[in-house]
Amino acid sequence: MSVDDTTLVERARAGDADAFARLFEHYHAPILNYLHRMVSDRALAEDLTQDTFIKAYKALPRTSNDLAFKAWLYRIATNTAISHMRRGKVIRWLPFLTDRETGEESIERSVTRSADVNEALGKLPKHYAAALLLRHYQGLSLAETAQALDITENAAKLRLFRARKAFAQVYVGPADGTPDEERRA
Amino acid sequence: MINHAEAQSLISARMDEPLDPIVARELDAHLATCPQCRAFASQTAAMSQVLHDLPHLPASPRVRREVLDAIETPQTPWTRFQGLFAPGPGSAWSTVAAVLVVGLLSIFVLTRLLGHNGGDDNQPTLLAPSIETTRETDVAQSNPTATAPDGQISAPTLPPTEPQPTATTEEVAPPTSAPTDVPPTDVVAPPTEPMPTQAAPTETAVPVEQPTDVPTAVPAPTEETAKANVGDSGSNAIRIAAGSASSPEATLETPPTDVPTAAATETPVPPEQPTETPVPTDVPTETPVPTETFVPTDVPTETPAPPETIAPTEVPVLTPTPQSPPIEPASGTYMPSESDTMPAEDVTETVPVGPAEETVAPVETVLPPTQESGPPIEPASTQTDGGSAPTIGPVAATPGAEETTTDGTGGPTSEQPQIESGSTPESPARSDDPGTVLGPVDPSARIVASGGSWATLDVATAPQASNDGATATNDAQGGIQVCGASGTCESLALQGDERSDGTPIGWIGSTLIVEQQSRDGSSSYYAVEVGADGHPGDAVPLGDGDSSSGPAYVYGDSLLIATANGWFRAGATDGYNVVSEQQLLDSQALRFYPDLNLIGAIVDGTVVFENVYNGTTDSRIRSTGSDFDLSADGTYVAVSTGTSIEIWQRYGDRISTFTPTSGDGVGSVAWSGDSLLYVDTTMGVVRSIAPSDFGPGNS
Repeated sequence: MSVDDTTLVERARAGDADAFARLFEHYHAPILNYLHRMVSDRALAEDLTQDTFIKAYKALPRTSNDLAFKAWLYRIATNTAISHMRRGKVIRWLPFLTDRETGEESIERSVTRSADVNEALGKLPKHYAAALLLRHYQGLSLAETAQALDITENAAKLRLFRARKAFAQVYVGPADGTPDEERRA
Repeated sequence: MINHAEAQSLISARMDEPLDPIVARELDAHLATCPQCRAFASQTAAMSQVLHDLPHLPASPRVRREVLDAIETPQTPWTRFQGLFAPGPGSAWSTVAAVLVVGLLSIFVLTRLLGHNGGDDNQPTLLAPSIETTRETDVAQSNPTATAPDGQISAPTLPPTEPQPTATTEEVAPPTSAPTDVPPTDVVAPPTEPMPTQAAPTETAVPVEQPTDVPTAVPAPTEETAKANVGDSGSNAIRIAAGSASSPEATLETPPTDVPTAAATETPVPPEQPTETPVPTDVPTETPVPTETFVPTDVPTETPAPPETIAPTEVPVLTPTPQSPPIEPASGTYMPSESDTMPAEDVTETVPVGPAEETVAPVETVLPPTQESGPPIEPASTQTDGGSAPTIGPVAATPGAEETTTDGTGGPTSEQPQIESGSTPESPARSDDPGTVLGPVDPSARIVASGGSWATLDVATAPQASNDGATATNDAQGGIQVCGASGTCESLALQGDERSDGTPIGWIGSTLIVEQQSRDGSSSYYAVEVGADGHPGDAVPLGDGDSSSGPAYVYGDSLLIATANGWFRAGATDGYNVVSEQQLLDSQALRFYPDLNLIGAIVDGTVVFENVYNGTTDSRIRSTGSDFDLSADGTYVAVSTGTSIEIWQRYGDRISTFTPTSGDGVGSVAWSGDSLLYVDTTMGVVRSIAPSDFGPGNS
């Protein structure tokens, strides 16, 4: 966290709404994008982003001075998303009809299409998807990822490893000439 | 040597932090000889890059507006109170204040308890302090100079904390007799009213605790302010607090009464310390009592969850669903379109839309009567037909579906309802009107088109039957009769009653979908499994009790229900639980495109398409309109703006705008092959226009 952020967090913790507004401007888009990838729906992601920041604003005065704001914010976002998905109305997200797609079609798909990534992420347990998104999409460090997930760094390493393996199982990535069987070994 | 599992673990670890050089060399040696692990390494590296390169959404103006509005909302007294517990700079003052607040509150509660007990004959003496204190308070507040002439407010503050009634009485007595220039009658008289009750302790508790006594003894504004800050502590507590200070009604008049009073008593906080500041930042940080002592238990439940409460817990694994539920049309093969995998962010991307699906079998779609305007439609089929379920969905609900049938003609079949419609042009209303007049229509009606025919969207459906031949009809009283193929009928009960009013919507296999309307016009839906003998099972409410106000579509083995705010899909394979739901706030003009797996609506004037299966936003048309329709192949969207028709690419920009030369109003729109139908709201007719009229170059 930058010095500016530290100052802003300190002021926001003391009730300075302007300071919190500046923090919001800084983290708004990243959180929105993270949640968007988590829930695969922009409107919902916007709602969850709003919830995240309002929760943060209310909880911030009760945090300690050594708060790692960024990781803490992502933690709130992660829990907000997962809590939402736990609730009854969205029982589970369905895959993108992959059962109807043949292997040939999968190979032919463009590797960089985000739809493929979304599809793969949608098939992962949400805490795996969260770990991958935090680390690779949002660019959090291992320590920040661990903090955001509220786990130790060693646990984060293990979760990332499992998440990567799981992702490799469900994501048909770039056609690098490697046979599927070998790719999924 | 390391094995595959260890190697892959190290490959993963190396993505997060450098490996020990020795371990790294060992891993590299393994990779040199292991194609499997090389593949894993390349795949995880590619995955990392793909995730890193995912497109990013811009910031959301809506979220910005709502969040900033929320945080700029003035804090409530409660949130200010919460601020007292904030750690960090300035927390010392607030911590001390918090301690004393809690202490005073405890005193209040204790005193109240004593007051209550004072009503007990067994403890008559405990009542005394309340009354005496009240009297003193009245005097003190009426004459502050008498109680604190020298400005000292320390000692008298604490005595009430001691459960010694006599001490309190003695403490407060002097101010009563202190020199004062206040007319004695004004001060003394009111408190004397309760005095007679003092002789009867068991009765005294009531007037002491009744707020109605307060105005006579305490200046109203002061008392109210105190009460507001003390919450529901009760008048008794308020009086004791004020009297205990023997002082300053300022203590009562300042909103955070308890805090500053306590702080002034216990700590060297300057008197000018703002008592209302939720989190004073300038206060020295020395904290006599650890903050943790006060935070959790004394804060009411409305306190926002502390960070601990939002700490993530291990999330139960959401088992990846390897395949979507089989929601195929009854007799056809569903071919997923590009839209199935189109994520929301791709709205802004130019994504080529594939050619129209080759084969879209007729979909068993049912359109119940909607609330939209338009003349009632006579069902083409009879209500008593217990035979094969008519297939009308693609025609009525989704013109595109029909237009992509294999025969390509799109002509109505014998099973399609002949609704208010016309298949041949009628006499033109005006010579200068564009297009061909197809027939009269209610200007507010929404239309659909199918090949050579058109219809209003208000379609009454023909009855359906279960796989076993069971049927459901309304009886004369509005109840539902379910009849088996053998002719045995039973009344349907939805909610444990003997019979229930409702409307049979349609069948999904052997499951009957029933709509039940409430008085406010909203609807609830139920699924009822009906046996081959026609015996209905228990009614299972669909969703979680959400009411709906729009049409329901039976689609394959799912049910799409439009609600006032969106739609949800309940799937048979999930026991008719809601498998996905999407909120479309203020949605209007819902249209369903089963062959494209899309449902469209106008949300805040914007046309939005969503994927039926996963609830993701497929695309948004940046146009404000009152109606829309998606072309058969899903490429183009026609949007009615009321005065013109805009043609948009589903994933792109507007390509043309058609405005009737006569200036007539434009109502509903619908695609009919390459042509467009629209409602001329001025003339009250449906017109058909050719691509040459509205295509590119005609803007």
